[in-house]
Amino acid sequence: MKKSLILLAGIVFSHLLCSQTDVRVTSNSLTSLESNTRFYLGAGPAIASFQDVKFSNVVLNGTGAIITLGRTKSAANKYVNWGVDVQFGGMKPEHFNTKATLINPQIFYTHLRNINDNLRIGVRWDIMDVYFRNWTGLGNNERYDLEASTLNAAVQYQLVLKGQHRFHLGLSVGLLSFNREGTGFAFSGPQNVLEDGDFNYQDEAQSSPFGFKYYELETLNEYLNLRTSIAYDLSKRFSLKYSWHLRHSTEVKDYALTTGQHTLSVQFNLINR
Amino acid sequence: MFNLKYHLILIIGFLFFTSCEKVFQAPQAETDNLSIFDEYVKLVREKYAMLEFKGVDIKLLDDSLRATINATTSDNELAAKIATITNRLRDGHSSFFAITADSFFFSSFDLYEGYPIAFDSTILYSHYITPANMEGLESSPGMEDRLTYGKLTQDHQIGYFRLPSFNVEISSEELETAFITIKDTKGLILDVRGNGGGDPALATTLASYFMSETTYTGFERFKTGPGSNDFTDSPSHVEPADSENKYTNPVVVLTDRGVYSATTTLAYNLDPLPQVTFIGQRTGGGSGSVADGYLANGWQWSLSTSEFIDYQDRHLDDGVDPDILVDFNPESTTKDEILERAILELQ
Repeated sequence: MKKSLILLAGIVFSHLLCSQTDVRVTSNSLTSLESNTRFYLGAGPAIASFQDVKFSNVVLNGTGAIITLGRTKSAANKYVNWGVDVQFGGMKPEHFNTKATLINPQIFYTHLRNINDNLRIGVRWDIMDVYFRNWTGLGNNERYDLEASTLNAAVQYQLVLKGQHRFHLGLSVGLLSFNREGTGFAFSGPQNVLEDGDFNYQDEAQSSPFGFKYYELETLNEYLNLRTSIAYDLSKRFSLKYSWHLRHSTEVKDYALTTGQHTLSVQFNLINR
Repeated sequence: MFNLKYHLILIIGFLFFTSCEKVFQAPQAETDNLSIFDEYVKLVREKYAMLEFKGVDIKLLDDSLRATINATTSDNELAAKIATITNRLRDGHSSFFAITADSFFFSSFDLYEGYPIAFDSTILYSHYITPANMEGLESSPGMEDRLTYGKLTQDHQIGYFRLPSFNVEISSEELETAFITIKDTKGLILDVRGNGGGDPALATTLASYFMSETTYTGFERFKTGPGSNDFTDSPSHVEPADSENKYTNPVVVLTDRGVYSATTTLAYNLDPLPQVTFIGQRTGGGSGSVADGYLANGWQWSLSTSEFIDYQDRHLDDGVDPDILVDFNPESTTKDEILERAILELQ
């Protein structure tokens, strides 16, 4: 599946490369191009990978889908996007036959300011990013969960090729994250709770994904939240968007959690005016 | 200027379409014989919380067994060698399960080995508790896995409360109803024989019904890092239940070797209470929390990654003797000596 995505990307870029002599990069202003409001609904295929070295170097890989719903509003000097993404699917290890399932709802808000004709910078707030993995056949460690509310620095670059092909390249990097990883080094409880000597069977918040008092504030060297995306407006109604989301948590040094998610979604603009 | 922009597009495009988490991932686990063996040994060395208490020299085991493994070692032989390590832990929470082409291995510790039987559900349900005097008994006595409670026919002043498993969901309303039923008795028999555990939070909630004040019960020592000394202690201060129906009269807890895992949690939480007496046989232990997972070839493991040390500084994982040791006669078909001794204690 991943190969297919890369192939698709290759085809798009090959097309552009082959028509090199025709390529024109215009510098239309963002304002003139994007003063509009969109309300969109999207869906498409996804691929995911998961590795938690605390328990194994085995990498889970799999496919699934993403459903996305959101609204963008571009004004004279700013761009605002909020939305909800839900990714889900199945994963399995390379060398044996067990199944894991993934569900990952995310709520986000992005606020960017126009710097020049093609560049916007600002922040993306992943208000709530809830990652659940369930690995069939295990007992205490069947469930893995990671919840994060992350403030990201965000950049969006707009390219308009040949005066009509409009691409939006996006990049965001988490600067500060308020998060909770449900599994510690050797136990299905948050590592900070265990390290602080606070584990308590009577405190339900310790096992709850929404036990906010046990969330930790982490910077990007402890919790790297990275996203890239490229979107292409197929028409006024349809857009195509590829995005990549990486989480890399090193709460226990040298025993990192790494998740990767690639999605390709077709977005239908219910409103585009 | 045009070329610069064009190349910028190519660079950005390349970065976007080759962005991959593999850069951040550790190398995939290998599945050759030595790698599988090493993976298991690493898990035991880094995660198992009681190597010292159990007297296991993991380096010695590693050195002696690893030397016998090579590329020609069969899956069955490899699984047997890994199981040798699991067996040396003598820990019911630590197991190893492997399916090979022509066999399967399940290695774990037999709790009952060398210990007498101390419970017979047929005697219990035929001669001591019946649907007439107990709540929770179903049409097939002896098959219940939920709580049973009421007053003994032999002495209506003595309450009886049996929970064969903590691997059930019991609502707070259900617990309240049970404690309302037994509230007016002069003493209570809490029968947890054969209860192999389940949810330790439920066990703690049950214990909290017998407390009138916050009680220090010991501490759980968690493995929190890969080093041999990477432990952190979490003291256990159990708060009394937020209920008007707490039970503070004398309690006798019936124990046997089947008292394990979350039921040990119940036992160590009740032990500091002056009104509680333990009668029966030595408990099974299993005081620690458990982690489990798959090796790179799909073989399954579980390990104790913590242990509990009680308020008297006793390590509980191998079980503890009750206050009053009572033998159970396996030949008898009508008498439960341990239950009889508990009735005597409360009369």
